[in-house]
Amino acid sequence: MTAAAIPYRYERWRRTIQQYAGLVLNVFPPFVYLLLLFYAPMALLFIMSFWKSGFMHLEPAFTLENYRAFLSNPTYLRILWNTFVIVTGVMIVLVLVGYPIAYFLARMVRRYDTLVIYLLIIPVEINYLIRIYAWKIVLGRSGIINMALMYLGLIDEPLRFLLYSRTAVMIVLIHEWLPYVVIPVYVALKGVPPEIVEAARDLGAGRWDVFRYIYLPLSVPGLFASFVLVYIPMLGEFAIPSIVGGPSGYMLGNVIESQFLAAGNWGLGSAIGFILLFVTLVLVALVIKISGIEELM
Amino acid sequence: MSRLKRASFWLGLYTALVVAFLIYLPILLLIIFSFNDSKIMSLPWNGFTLRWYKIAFSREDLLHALFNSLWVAAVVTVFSLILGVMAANGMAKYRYKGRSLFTGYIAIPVVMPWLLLGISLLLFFNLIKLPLSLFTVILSHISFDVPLVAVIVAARLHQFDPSLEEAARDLGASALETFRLVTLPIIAPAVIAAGIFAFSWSFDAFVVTHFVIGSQVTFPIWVWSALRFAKNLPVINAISSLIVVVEILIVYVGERLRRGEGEGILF
Repeated sequence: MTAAAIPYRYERWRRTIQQYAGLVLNVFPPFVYLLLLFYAPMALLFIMSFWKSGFMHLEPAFTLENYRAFLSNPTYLRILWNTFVIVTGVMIVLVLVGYPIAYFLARMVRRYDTLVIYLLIIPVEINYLIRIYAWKIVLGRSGIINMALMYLGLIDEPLRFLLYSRTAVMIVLIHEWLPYVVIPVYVALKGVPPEIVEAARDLGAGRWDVFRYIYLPLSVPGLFASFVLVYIPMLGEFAIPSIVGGPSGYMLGNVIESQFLAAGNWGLGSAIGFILLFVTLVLVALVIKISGIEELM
Repeated sequence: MSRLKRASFWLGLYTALVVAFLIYLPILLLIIFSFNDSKIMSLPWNGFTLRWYKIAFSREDLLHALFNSLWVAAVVTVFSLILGVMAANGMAKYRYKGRSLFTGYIAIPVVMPWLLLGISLLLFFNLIKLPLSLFTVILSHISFDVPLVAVIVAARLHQFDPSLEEAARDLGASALETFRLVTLPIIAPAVIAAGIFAFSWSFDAFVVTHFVIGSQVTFPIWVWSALRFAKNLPVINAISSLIVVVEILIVYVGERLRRGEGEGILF
């Protein structure tokens, strides 16, 4: 009896230790990599935003000068406001445009929904700069839209607000991010168990009631996921405004980029970068608090 | 019922129009105009030509940039897969306190604006005096590709039955044998798909690369600087169209593998 129990107990201990070793071996390398090449640099951004700025470098110090330079400049504050308006406006349009598509694909078709989802995923993986640039062919002064409108006799002069404008930035942002709104909502709506809907129907709920009390609340996690995936990355956009934006489409990302690569005022760039990082973290924390991290995965 | 059918028809038409005009129109025009025998990207149609493709393939700077992007992406993919699969194991295979904390730790980089990653890595490399080069580009790409791989593979691992591994261990397989013979074959489609996405993220990465590349050139960086000169536009069109077609094929394969047999969609 005891003779058999010893190897058994030994075996159990060995298992536990192996499990633990396996866990540590798996968790440790990615943990350290991201600590060094993601979290440490992010912390550095915070610390160095208080350093004294030289040209294209920073000197250790503690100064609020960088933040003062940003907050006391009305141009920067206007761009900050512009960025907020553009990103929020695009987010609202995305939900309004994307939700019906997600609902249609998840609840109203039986066969071709995955095909359409493929069609939405494919362009996401096509080079981002190429897609931004391709919009010039559509929106440009002699682009397709102007050509078509002139051909139809609706306008005599090409519409100039289509390209190099805030409108252009918003259109391209919508193009870029629509799949990230449609797909999480589609997944959430697709996962609604049919029994719930049947039960509601049996109890006399109409089509609108089913939507209002079942589909809408159950798609909220999908909406949260798309908010995190879309709203936050959009705040840091600079390539779209650079290529199709013009002066009225200028965003905070452009200011940060030019401080780092053209103007050489890294202190100011870091301060604006940290403000953006802070907003990002607050939004992520808020969404995780409301919906839980597991819900988002 | 006929009201439902009518609603379904209008919603279907709406979906088709949005996908066609908002998503595909610019991409299709790009491809069409790459065959137009004209220096400007607009109508009228001046006839079919392959001239821009020939010019694209004779541009040394472009080929050099493409080559750089390909090998950077290859190196990045290998390291991201190794670290990403480890992270996925930590997120989905083991039960322990702090698991959701680790999940958040790995997943947060996915939503971080790339601009912020770019500038903070620039500050970091500057501080530790590591000169900017393709090496710093590789280091930077790995840090956004690891979370991507981890999230894709973890989604697959969540459906994985741990008793399969226990059975293998009971039958005398070593830890490595268990991974190679049991775990890997099951998660292989997700790993290959993650590899394809990691490769394409690195190949296409512009924002982060822009800040950490110094004076070197990858394909997106080449596009960024070429966009400033009108004479380059038809060449950009041609090479972009070619890459679009290749990427569509690659992504299609990746999606098929990742989704397995009608599994859920993440992104």
